[in-house]
Amino acid sequence: MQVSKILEILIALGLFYFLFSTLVSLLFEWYSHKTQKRGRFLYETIFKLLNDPVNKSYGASLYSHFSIDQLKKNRDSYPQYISSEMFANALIDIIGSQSEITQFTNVFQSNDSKNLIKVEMEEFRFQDPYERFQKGLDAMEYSPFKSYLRGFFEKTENYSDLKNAISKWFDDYMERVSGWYKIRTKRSIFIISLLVCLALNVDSITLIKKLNTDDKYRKDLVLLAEKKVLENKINDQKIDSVDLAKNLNSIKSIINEIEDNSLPIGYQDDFKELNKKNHYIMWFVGILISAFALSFGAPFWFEVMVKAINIRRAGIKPS
Amino acid sequence: MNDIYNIHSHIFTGKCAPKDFLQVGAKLGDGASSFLKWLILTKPVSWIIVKLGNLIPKRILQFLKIGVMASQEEVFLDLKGAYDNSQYSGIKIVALTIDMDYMSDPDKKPEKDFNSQIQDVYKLKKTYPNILFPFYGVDPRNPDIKNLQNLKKALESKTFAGIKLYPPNGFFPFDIRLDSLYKYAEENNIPIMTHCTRGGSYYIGKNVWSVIPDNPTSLNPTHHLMPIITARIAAYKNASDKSFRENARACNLFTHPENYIPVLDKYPNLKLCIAHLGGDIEILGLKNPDAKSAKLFQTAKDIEGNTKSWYDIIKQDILIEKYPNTFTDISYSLCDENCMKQLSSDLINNLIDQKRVLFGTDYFMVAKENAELKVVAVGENNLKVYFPDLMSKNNQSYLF
Repeated sequence: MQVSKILEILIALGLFYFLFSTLVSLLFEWYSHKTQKRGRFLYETIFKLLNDPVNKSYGASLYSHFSIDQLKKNRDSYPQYISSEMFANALIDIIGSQSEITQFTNVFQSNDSKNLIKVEMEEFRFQDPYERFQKGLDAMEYSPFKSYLRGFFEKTENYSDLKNAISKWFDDYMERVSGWYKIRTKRSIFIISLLVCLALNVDSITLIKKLNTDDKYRKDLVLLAEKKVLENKINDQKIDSVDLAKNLNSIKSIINEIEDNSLPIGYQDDFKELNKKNHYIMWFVGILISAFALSFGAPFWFEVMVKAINIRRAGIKPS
Repeated sequence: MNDIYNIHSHIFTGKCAPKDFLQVGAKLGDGASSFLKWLILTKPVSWIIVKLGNLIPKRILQFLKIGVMASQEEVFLDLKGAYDNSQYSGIKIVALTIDMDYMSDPDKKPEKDFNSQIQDVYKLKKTYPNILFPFYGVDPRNPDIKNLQNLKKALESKTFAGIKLYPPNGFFPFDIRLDSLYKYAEENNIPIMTHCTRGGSYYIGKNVWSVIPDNPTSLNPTHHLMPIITARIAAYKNASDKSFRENARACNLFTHPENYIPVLDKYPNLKLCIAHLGGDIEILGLKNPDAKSAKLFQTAKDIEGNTKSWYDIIKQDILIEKYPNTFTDISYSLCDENCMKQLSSDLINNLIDQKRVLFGTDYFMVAKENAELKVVAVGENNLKVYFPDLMSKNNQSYLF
């Protein structure tokens, strides 16, 4: 087989997988939004970060802190994102609040010592937030978490430095969390890819066969891919995880694009002709290959497509 | 007008309970119940529960609807809201926190641990100082019990108004580790609320017998009831009816009202409320219209070697002159009209000291049976003239 033909097949496949993986990304974002996958994951990782079995679950305290609680869209939701500044402010406040003493006094009716008129409240708190943080640390039992926080206090000289140090710690941690999230979402993306492939009969083996045998079809797809790359039309789809209608429109436009190019997908009449057991096995293997390929994501296939186009162009001698 | 109080309510959320909490009541394995709890607390399922809870007055849905609430404040406001437009508006609410960190195996600890539950209550008390009177949950397995530092801070600042014990979660009320707590409570006239019914939650760890020693250490080891209690443990352990060896029933060993007598004999002035009147099974005994409950009463009585019902033990052996500060409350049991009729009859015939009976509902546990105001109405309709004092004077004298 000629190298140029292999490149053409690769470009066509890249376009094919790019379009479908964009559809998968859209569906995944919508699913993540509806199930609060991202917000829930953030919640779990912050719980882990602030885990202190000796004192208390500071993760729970952080999420019930007024500033974080206000980030919730509704009572059942989890914030999808917490800025490092907000995190630092809330954590310093939570630790500092442990130094507070609130004294209540029950005021009873003068002629009846048990009949309560009102409860008076008096708060004793340190006004300087940096000192308040120190006193809050002092009120904690020793734990690795306390020791870590104490390190921040000892390495800084004022509230602003303390806030910056905690913000940086949170940012560093969040970088790792992004990596963990990607690993965790891979399985969900594969399942969605498989469902998309099954629903639309996206069979890689059939497609490769068609691209290999139908020269005109293959070249048409390569032209389309090149045109789109040149026109810079293909970008990562901007996904609105909130607006379902917008997402559906995006999905519709991608499906239209796929249909315009007459890709060999969907359950046509010839699918019924797969009457032999081996054919079904091959069909399912084709589906699995497609699902696996789509789970790599649209950016990956976009890169593959662009690189293959560039290599093909570099190989063409100028006339 | 005198203040009125609901002396027995809970405002914790599902997140304060262990991950496998749904084992209580539902006969599920710990894996299945952890999954079910996770499922119920997921957004789509909790949304469906809330929606169905608004549409369908099914009691269990109402209970779950409260359980999936996002915060203790939301639960508290739900209870407050139930009274706001009624004749009981302005009622003061005693919210009992429970330390549930030790009621299951360590890997099933609650998402929101006990200290976080308490911190939320601290904030709530500051927001609603005139209405909310929380009790501080104590479990002797919590290392805090050693110096009582957190408890003393909570009580001496008057943020918390009393102490809550929940023995069926896996400890005996006469546990030696509670000795300093009782001493402190007696010296400072601090009310203690405890649980006394065969129902409710219980220790759900895999091996219940790991928390029930054959000879439990006692703060009053030479007390004449200790051999009886030890024999009762042996009887449960060797019971021919297998169900008495399993968690739900074995934990009745912790709940038995006789367990408090060694404590009261050491601390006779302790302000102690044995809640629920002992529970419907023990109040109605063999007269229970539910044959299953009547049978359970008899079987348990035989195994435990009781000469009388738990209700009678409370009336005749605990609410007595010897212990001048002992009480019981009608919470949860008030939803059963037959129980209230029995209590009413006993009040009329002076078989129970009317000054020692308190009003509470056991919100939101009682939501499984009926709406808050409806259970209050059952109590009021049956206890008639006694009812206002239960809500007001009796509760006041227990609380302050």
